[in-house]
Amino acid sequence: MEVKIVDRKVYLPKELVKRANLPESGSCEAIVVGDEVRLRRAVSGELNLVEILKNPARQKIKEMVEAEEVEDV
Amino acid sequence: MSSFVLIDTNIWHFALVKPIEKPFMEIHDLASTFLSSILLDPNIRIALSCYQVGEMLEVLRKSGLDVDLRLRLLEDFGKAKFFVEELSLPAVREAAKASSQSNVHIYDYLVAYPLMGTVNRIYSADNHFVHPDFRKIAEVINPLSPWIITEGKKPIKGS
Repeated sequence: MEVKIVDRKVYLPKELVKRANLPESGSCEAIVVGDEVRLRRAVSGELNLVEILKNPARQKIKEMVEAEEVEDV
Repeated sequence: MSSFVLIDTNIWHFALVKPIEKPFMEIHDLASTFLSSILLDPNIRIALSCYQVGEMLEVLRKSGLDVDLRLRLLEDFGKAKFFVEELSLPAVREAAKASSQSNVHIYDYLVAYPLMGTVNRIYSADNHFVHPDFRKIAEVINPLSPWIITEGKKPIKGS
């Protein structure tokens, strides 16, 4: 997909912003790979998961197996 | 540059739920340590298909994980550490076709096929993922080795 650069400002089509889940405005992270520039949302912020992992649920292995169970094909 | 990885549901399951029986606690320790290391590495992002998100929530519900914790997990999937790929009808068609030829559950394909071209590594303890259909997507690694986990069967410890 072609995008325009005007005075160092890059205009990203709405479709591309939506697909990459980038913000409409604000900042994101730019990474240069060779002669390519990649944009992504900044990977930061607290994850609930880190806290959840500290207090795992407890269950019998038989019940854990049943929770994942699917019929054979 | 970030690298996208797929983490199979069984690893999430054992990381978030600890078996009561001592011999199987080791699986939880391996899964929890592994998942924590991925979460803390800013260069690694976790990709999931929409199907896998639903699968995980259901497995964790059956394993008694509190609804509030499940919703907080779902909230995390909207954060930049994660990339969730929508499930399209063409991806389901591909999955159904491949499953009918390999006899591997369509569910495994619905976890992985939508992420073809996105992930460069698959972490799974399920032997189904050793099938060439999955290895063509990305390198497949079992971080819970020597444990092997197959849906509906007790985990086994390999040599």
